[in-house]
Amino acid sequence: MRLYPPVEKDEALAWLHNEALARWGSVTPELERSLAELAEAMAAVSAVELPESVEPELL
Amino acid sequence: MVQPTAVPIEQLGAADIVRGVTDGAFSPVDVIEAALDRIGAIEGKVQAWSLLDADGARAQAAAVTADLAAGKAPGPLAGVPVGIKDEFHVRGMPTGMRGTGELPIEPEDATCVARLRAAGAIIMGKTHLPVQGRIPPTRNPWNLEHTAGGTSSGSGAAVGARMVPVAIGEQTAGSNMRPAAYCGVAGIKPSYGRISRFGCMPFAWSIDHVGIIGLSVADLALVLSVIAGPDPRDPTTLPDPAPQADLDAPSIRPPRIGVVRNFFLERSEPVMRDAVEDATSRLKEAGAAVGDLLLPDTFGLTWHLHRIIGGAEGSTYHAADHDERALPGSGGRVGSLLPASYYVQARRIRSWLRVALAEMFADVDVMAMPTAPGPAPRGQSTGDAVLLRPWSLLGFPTVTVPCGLSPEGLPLGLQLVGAPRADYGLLRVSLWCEQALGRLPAPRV
Repeated sequence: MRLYPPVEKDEALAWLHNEALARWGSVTPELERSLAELAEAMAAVSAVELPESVEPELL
Repeated sequence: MVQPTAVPIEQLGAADIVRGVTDGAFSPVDVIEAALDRIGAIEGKVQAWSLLDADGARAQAAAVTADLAAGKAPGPLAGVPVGIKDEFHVRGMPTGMRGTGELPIEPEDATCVARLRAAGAIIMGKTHLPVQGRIPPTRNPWNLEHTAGGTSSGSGAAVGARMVPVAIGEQTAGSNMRPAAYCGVAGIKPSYGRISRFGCMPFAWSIDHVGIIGLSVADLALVLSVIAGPDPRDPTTLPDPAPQADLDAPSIRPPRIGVVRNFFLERSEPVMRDAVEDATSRLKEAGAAVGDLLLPDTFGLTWHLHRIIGGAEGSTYHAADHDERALPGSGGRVGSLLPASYYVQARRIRSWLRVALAEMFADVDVMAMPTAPGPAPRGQSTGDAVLLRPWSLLGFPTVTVPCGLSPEGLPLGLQLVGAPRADYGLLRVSLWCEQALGRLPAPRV
């Protein structure tokens, strides 16, 4: 799944759903809830515009 | 030996125990016998311990007592009984977090446990945590129908019930602060890297923090002074020396407190919001400069970042045991689906937020907010970590102190957040607040 241009939650959820099906063969309601939360997080992260100088924390 | 005060030994804080042992008012053996009596009387109800090592504790106490009798200088924690969350390795014991069934005996102490021993503390045993998603039997000493919190359930309950004055916990989301608040005592989640994680089984490496639960802020400072500091076996430890134990109370000036008005109170129950208003009013009356504080909208990202970073790291650590051990649909499991670019971008955003939020401490000494959305829930839930996740993610130091009781008589906690790496200053402000708000009495179990 791309990081940019920003993804919408529904788009991220559809992608995650397919990945989960391929990995585990089925998606339980509990798993679906976790996927929805993760999709929301992916959409939020994808939408952030950072200054280009920002690096991840490095030891 | 005769006790120096009317306070029973088992209700003394760590600093008072060290003082009594040093003065010869009582011996480490007396302390441990009092703790074991207390545990024996109420453990059947509270169920804080996954492994109580009574014989080992007696042997350690006898050794420390013999050392003192031989004229050796007492260690800074001489004779203090301590509980260890069953996530940490303790030499000669299994580590419960490894799972169920027959577990290996650990050959070596976690760094924090080794430092406790070297300071004269007595390792009483291991305290309960949820294992493989199974909630432990531990109950809240204030009301046995309510949770003690989690995942440091046993450590919170053991201190709250006055079985031990201090215990070691761990926090990845809200696991150290929540049990402390629910059980009516103090707790610290220090800055990330302040205490070595070596020998602590991981949930998510860059969010895991070793924490302390204690009867008072002074006890937190005392234990932190012993177990903090660089450790070559944990490369993420900070280079700073351990903060000193003496908080120099007379020199603490009334602090500047920023009451966070967004994100936290709106996620709290009315009883908790009222308690924060009441507590901050009392702090203001005591002389603190109390003002309102609004966090930037970008703070809302912290919950998302915690899900992505925690999910990716947790699913990596547990990759080998998903089939056997992970709960279906757990956040850790779905974290394995994340593209690497999202994990790296989440860590970039965290770096950016850390800098922006650290600048807010130019105007305040601490930020204040609830520790948990309300009192300990009834039943099997271990409560909600929602108000603690942001600070675990960011690695800022936090302390919880009791700020009152709910109408049904359950403790409520006030969370104080300090600037990055300002653990000592945060503890000094927390001591000032604790003195202004007062500590809670021991619960009737």
